Amino acid sequence: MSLAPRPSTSQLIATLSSHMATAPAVTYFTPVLFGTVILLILILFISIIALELGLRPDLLNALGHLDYINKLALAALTAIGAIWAMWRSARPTALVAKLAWMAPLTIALASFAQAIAQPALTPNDQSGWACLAYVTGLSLPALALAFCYLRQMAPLKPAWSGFWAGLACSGLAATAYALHCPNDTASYVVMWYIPALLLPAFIGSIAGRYLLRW
Amino acid sequence: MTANPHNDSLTALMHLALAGDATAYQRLLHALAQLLRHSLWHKMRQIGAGDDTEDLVQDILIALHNKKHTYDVSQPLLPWVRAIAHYKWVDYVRLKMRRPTTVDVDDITLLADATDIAAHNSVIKDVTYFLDQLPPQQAELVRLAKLHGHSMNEISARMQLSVTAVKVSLHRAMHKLKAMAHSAQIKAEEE
Repeated sequence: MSLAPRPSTSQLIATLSSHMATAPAVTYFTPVLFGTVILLILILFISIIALELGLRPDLLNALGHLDYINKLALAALTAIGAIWAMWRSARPTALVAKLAWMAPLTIALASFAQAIAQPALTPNDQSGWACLAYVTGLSLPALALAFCYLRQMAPLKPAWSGFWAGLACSGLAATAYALHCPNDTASYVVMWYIPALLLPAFIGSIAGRYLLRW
Repeated sequence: MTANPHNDSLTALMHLALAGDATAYQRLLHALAQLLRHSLWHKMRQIGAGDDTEDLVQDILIALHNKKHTYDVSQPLLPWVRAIAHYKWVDYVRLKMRRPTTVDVDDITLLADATDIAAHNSVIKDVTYFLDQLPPQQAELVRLAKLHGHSMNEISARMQLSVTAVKVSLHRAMHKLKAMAHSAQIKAEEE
């Protein structure tokens, strides 16, 4: 069998080239636009939380407490890491940096350790379910938007890209929610924030397996 | 990658193409097609799909075209091409190996369940590569039983063997073919 190129390939190349002449490369997936959309989504989330639930009245005061900073940082750093991972994983040669995960992982582990030391919560905490519900509820539409973006890209591992997208959305939502949530104990963080962060991520990874192939 | 991207002629062609030079793009695609053809050829033969090489090359070219905005212009071109080619290659292997019309140890009926001739012919071509790797007598048994649909009695008469011997030998041959196809698939996915 020969390695000679088939005429149909030359035809295909001619077609692709003429397409190139009339419609040069897509230029709108720039980092600037990407960052702007992320910021707008965060602002939207915060607005929704502020209007529906109200920001916590002692917000400025709370920012001085380590517990609160811990909780806020967990959500924010998860969001930043996941957004970065999603951006990189959408492109064929960019490697996803593992060091990005040191920060949120450290906080999560620290929270676990603290929670074990002070087991003071029952599972039937109403506000915990609200946390889970709001973070997930905000995440899912944002996840749909993220998928619209990812379908235009070329993720080599579709399930992972879906996972990072879900985690990015839940990270942003949890950051917004943390501006309302009055409960700062480590047990609360472990019992409600971490599942709230992970649930959209897993939904994203399962959806990604099917929807992000190309 | 430490090579200066501008020393790489293919990378340079891609930069020209992205700036709107359709001729450069055409030259680039022809060069990439040839590279892909060569690197895929042996792998495709190993899974008995040599004839489909050009189809896969075309699929990869289309993917490169559709996803060219995912190429980072500050990086060399070939790693990006290779990553996309590998993705499509793994997809192709998965699709190919999942077809129901491949060797089945328990299936004594004709290999090709498919009713259309094209599928039948391409299954035969896939299997031929593996058949060549069996001992001659076993290969002949498989051909007579599966590809030509002879009964056990006919084969026993033709090859001067007892029906039992035919069945046992055929069973062993089918086992080997299945193992060959399976390990070729694993090897292809590992690459």
